[in-house]
Amino acid sequence: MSLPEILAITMFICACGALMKGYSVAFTLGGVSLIFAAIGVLTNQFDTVFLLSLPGRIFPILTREILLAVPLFVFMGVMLEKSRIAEDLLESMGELLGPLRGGMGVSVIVVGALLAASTGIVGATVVTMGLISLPTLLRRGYDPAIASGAIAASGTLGQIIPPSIVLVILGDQISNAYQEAQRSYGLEQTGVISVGDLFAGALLPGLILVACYAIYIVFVAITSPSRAPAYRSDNVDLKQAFAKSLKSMLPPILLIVAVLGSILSGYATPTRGAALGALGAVLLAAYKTTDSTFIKRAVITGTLSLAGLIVMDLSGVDLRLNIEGRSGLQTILLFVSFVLAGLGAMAALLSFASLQKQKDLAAVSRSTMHITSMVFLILICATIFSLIFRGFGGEEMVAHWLGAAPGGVWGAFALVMIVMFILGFFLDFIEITFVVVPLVAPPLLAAGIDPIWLGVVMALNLQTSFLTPPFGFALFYLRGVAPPEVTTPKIYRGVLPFIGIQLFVIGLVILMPKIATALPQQFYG
Amino acid sequence: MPEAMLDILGQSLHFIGWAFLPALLLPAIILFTGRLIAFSETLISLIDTISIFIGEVVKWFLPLMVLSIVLAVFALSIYGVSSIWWDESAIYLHALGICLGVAPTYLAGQHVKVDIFYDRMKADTKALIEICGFYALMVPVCLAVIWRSQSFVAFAWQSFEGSTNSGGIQGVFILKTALSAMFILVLIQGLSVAMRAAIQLRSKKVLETPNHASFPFIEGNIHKSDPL
Repeated sequence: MSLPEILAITMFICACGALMKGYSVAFTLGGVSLIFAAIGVLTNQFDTVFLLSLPGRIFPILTREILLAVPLFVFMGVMLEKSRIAEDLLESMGELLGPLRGGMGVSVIVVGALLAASTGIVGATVVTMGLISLPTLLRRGYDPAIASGAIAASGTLGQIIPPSIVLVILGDQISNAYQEAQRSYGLEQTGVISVGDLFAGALLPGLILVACYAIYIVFVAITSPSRAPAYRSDNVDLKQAFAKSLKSMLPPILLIVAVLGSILSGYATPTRGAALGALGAVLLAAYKTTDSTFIKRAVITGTLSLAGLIVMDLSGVDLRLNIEGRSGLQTILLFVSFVLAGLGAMAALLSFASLQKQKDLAAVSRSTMHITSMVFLILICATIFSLIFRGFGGEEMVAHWLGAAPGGVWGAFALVMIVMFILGFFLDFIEITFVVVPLVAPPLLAAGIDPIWLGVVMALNLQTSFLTPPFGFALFYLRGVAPPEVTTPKIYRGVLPFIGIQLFVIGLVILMPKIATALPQQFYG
Repeated sequence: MPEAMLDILGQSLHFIGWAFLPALLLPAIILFTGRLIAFSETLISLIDTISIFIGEVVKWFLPLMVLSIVLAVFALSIYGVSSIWWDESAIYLHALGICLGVAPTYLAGQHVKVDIFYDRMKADTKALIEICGFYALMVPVCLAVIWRSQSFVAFAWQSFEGSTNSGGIQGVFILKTALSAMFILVLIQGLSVAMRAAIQLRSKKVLETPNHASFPFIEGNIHKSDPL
């Protein structure tokens, strides 16, 4: 092994070690690599030319259109979290399914999946559900292990069920890697991978996961009823409970369908779909947090108007402003559409104003600014890291290793998955995606692995890693809010079956790649 | 603006940059000699006030961005109206929001850390990590980017570089300047936090935490960042 390669490896190890010290991840990645670049310059192993292009590399990150989806989805998620839909959902679903054996457990998983799809924020989902539903589950006699396992597992669904922030970031990186594979590794296939492709690819595996979780809870409830008992309550009117849970489930489901539908059908780009989702979240949150009936009515009217406008457009009414010679009917429809658009705009502005009065808008915006800045600073510093790693020839080294892995492509693939799984214990999804994916994905893709499938398996793999004791992130979040009688070993024991389910689904997707690739083909051809 | 004026502006900015460099030594001076603490406290509150002000303004870019893109979606999909200028304005809000938002985020303690071991460390150890991290990691990164950005930004200003799309916003040179501004601002913010840590280590004095700020090395001040 040559000196630059040794430096590259030491740099990677040192960066991982330095991260454990707890200084900001972004500056640790960038700083460690610059220190090694300095060592490289002193020992004549590193060409400073690589650093010349630094600003030119960083700048496009800031202006890439697809990455605008990140702040928009974050805004949507934080806004929905503030609107307390989680509380409503858990309460009404619990009332409905509570009288069944395992019903509360299943409702936690269904709500988790809904929150996952709509907010996409893992930590917040785990914490919210841990705070609200864990005490309820325990009070109703659930085994603490089952209860905590269900909450931790369904909390991590936020990464895999689209639309998710994680899939936006991963999709962007995979798409870059795919182009890199075509350019530098001589991959003959042409074509591009979009974030929408990854959304479509992750949809089915995500839903299979949800189903498997629910089946497991039902299975436990049947085989050992004492661990997931039914809750008998005399004064529950089933009809009312059904209506109530439907009412609280409908808005988030509609929002998810609207966002996903607009992206998958090609009606909007992911960025534009995310903006629509953010507006939907604003309307929903304004409706939930206000006490004024006027605002509630205005929000409903405005939402229906906007929906009507879209229905008009989808049903083939030509509302384009630049056509000439409109018929009388067309002119009338155009005026109707103006009224609808006006009502929608009024409702949107009213919602923003109402949220601002409740101080929620300021808090949500600040929180979104923090998360967005954090993500992009890591992306920028990871770019510095990759640039210097490449300067040491680290990229060819990784490609060479993967090429020499026992078992050919599949050996290399397994190696990458294991490394990512272990890194998932210590690092966040963002760091792994930004540092590891650009290094390992191009050679794997060049060897003929399907990019969408690779992205989905990587996402599933990291999700599992976040659930695995002793270091899984989801477990830490749950530990932080769980009552003291739910001990750490109980949480660990509780997630084990769910890890089994994860591995089963990963195996399923590996054996039947169609699960991930069929839908994108369907949508995008 | 005449070129001579821009030249003078550039030169003076350059000069201010060099003049500012010695200030980076302040945390070390405080830590090793215990001098300049009163001066540093003034500087800290000045820096933090400015940062928080920037953050409180910039956070409004986000709802603006949502509204602007939603408007563009409806205008394009329904009325077939589109404007490159309008589309680009969302990108400008986004990019400027990040460039100006990184420093307030640092002050709010929201840049993610790996906290497996960090959570169990003593406050003094955390303060020491803050100072070491500042010198070993943050200063090199920021100075490297700022140093390398000089010609990058200068080129953009020479032609007042604009959009490559016709009808786009003619302000790419401003965005490129914002890139350097991001690292200058976060370096100044990091300096303020490191000085705070140094004062705490040296004189056992815990400075007051302003609103919208959070420091991991101050007990009871751990504010978990919203993880994705």
